Amino acid sequence: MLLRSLKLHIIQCGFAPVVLQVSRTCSNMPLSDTHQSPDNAVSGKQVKSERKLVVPSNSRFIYPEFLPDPKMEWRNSLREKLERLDMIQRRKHIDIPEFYVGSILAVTSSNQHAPNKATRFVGICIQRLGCGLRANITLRNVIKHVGTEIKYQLYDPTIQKIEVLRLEKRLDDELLYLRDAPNEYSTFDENMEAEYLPEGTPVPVNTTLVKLKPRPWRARWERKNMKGLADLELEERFYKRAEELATPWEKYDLMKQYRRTIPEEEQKEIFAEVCSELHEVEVMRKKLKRKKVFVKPTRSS
Amino acid sequence: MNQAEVSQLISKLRIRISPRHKNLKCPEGPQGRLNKLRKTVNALFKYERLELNYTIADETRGYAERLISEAIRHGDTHKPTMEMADYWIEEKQLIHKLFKVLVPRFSDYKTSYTMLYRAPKAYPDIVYPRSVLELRGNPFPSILPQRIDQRNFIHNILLEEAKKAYRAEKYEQITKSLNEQDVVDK
Amino acid sequence: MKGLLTFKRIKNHLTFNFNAFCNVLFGQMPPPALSFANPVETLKPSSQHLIDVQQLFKNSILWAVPKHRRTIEKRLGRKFGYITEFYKMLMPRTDLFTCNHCGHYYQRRHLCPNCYKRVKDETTEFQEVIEKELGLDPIEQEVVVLYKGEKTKKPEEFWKGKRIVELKREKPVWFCRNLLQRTTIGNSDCKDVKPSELA
Repeated sequence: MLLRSLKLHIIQCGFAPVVLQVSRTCSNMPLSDTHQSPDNAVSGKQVKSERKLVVPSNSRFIYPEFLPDPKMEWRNSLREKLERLDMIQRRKHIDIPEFYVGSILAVTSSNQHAPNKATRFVGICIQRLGCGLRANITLRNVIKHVGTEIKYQLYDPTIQKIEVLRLEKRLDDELLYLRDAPNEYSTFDENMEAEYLPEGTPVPVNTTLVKLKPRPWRARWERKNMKGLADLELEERFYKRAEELATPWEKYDLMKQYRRTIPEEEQKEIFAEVCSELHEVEVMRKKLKRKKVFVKPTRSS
Repeated sequence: MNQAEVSQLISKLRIRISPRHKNLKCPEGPQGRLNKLRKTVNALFKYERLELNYTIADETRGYAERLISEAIRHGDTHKPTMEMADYWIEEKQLIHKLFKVLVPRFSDYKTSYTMLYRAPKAYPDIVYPRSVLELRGNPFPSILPQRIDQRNFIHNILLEEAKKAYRAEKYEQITKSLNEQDVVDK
Repeated sequence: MKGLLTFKRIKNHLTFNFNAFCNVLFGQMPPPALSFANPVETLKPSSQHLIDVQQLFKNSILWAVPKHRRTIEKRLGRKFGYITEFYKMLMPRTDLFTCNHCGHYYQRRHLCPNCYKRVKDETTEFQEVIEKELGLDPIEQEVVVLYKGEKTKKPEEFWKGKRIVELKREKPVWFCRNLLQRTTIGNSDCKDVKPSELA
C-alpha cells in the first residue's frame, strides 16, 4: 500500500526513471524475502527455500579481489568491509566476469578523444594484481608488430565494458615471459568473436609451451620455475647458477605459506557477507540477457 | 598490494602470530633457520613439554600448530600432507604419533593445540628470556596450579570464624541488656 | 686587559707568521699585494717558521670548545636518562607479586619459580620413565603416567586405549603427613579459649 502511494507521488512529481527503480526493487523483494540472514550461510545450513544460499566453494577463484591483502600490517576490517560494499555497487553497473590469467579479454574504456568516446582493447591477460578496489589486470596484444600492454583497473568507473572472448587458464599464474617470446604467442585478432562455453563446464587449461626468443631476456626465466615454458636451451652454467640460488626449503615453510594466505574461516565469512548480493546481481544479469529488447516503432510515411 | 594465494585452503590458527618471522641468527641462513625449527618441533612432539628460549619457542609454536592443523584437515592419506610431515618430522616413529595420537586428541579442540608460558627469570643473571612450550593434553602435571577457592585459605577461615564469634558475643550482650531492661520495667 | 693582550699577541703572530707562512708557500718574500699594512721585520726563512706555524695552531686558534650553551633539557637528559629509552634513576618494580599457592615472589605474566620447579622436577622424572619404557617404538596410543596406587582407583574401561607407564612412588602431596591429619572432629564444646580483642 505504502509503495503504491509512493509510486503515485513520484509520478506526479514527474520522476519517471525513479519509478522504474522502485518497481525493480519491488520485484526483487520476493528474492530477498526467501533469502535468510547471512548467519545461515556461514553455518552452511541449507535454507528451506527454492533459492539455496550456500556459499559456493569456488568463490575465491571467481572473485579473488574480494579477499584482502594477507599482509597483517595493512589489514583493516572496517576499510575492507566498506571496500567490499563499493565493489558490489560497481558490479551492479558493470559486469566483471570470471576470468583467469591466460584468458583473452576485450575492455572498452572511455576516451574523450576517440570518435565513439570509447576505445576497445583486446588482449591476453598476463597478470592479475591488487585486491579490493585496486584490483588490476594487464592485457597484452601485438598491434602492427608492436607488442603493447595496457594495465586496467577493474573497478575504474571509466571502464564501460569487460568481455571475456576466450575463457581459459594457462600453466602459470603470470605470463610475463610472453614479453620475451616471439610475437605469434601474443597476437590476437581485434575483431575476434566471443567463444562460448556451455554452463557448468570446468575452465579449460591451455597447455601450450612457449618457446622464447634467444637471450637477453627481461628476467632470468631459468630461475623462475615456469611450467608454461618449453626447453630454454641454455648453457649448463645458467642452470647450475639457478640451482645454487634456488630455495627448495621454501615450499615446506608452513608459516610463510600461512602469512601469504587468508585462512578458510575468514574466507567463508567474507564471501558469506558478499555472496547473496553477488548472486542477485548474477541472476539479474542473466534475466537481462534473455530479455527481448523492446524497439520503439518509428513512423514510416 | 598482493593478492592472497587461493590455490590452497588453510585452517585458521588459534594463536597469536606476528606479521614477520624471526630470523633466528643462523650461519646457514634461512635453511639453517628451518633446520633449527625442525629439530625443536621434533622435540616438542617427542617430549610434549620443552623449556627453551622465548623466541624459538614462539616460532616453533606456529609451525607445530600448522603441522597439526594440516594433519587434522587432510588426514593420513593426503600426499602433500605426508610429504610435509616427512620433511618436518625426522624420527619416523613420531609421524605415527602425529597421525595416530595427536590428531584424534586435537580433532575436536576449539582452542590452540599448544601452550606457551614465560618461565621465571634466573635473577640476577642476565639471560635470554626463557619459556615453556607444551602440547595440550600431555600426561605431565599441569604447569598452572589448579584454581583453589580462596575461601579455604587459613587466614580467610580464621577471619570467618572470628567474625562469627564476635557476632555471637554481641547478640548475647544485646539480649542480656534487653532482659535487664524488661526486668527494670516490670 | 688580558683580552687586549691576547688580541695583540694574535695580531702580532699573524703578521709575523703570515710572512713566514708565505715564505714557506712561495719560497720567497710575500708578493707586495699580500703584505700587511705595517711590514714587520722580515726574517730569513729557517726551520723556526715551521714551528711558528705550529705555535699558531696551538695558541691562536681555539679547538674543541663548546659553541653553544647546553640547554637544561639536554643536561637533565644526560644526567637522569630518558623514561622512554633508558632511565638512569632507580624505579620501583611493580611487577612482582606473591604466589597464592606457595608464597614466593613471581614476575607478572611469568610462572612462579617455586611452583614451576616442583612441576619441572616431576616432569623430568616422567619423561625419563617414559623414555625407558617405550624407547624407540612408534607411539600409537595416548601415554598416561600413574603413581603407585592410582591404577586401581578408576575402572578398567577408563584405561582402555591408553598406554600406561607406572611410577613406583606415591603421589607427592603439598603438605607433610602430620599436617594432613584431622585434628578437629567437629565443633568443640570447650569454652576455655575465646577470640579476644576483636574489632
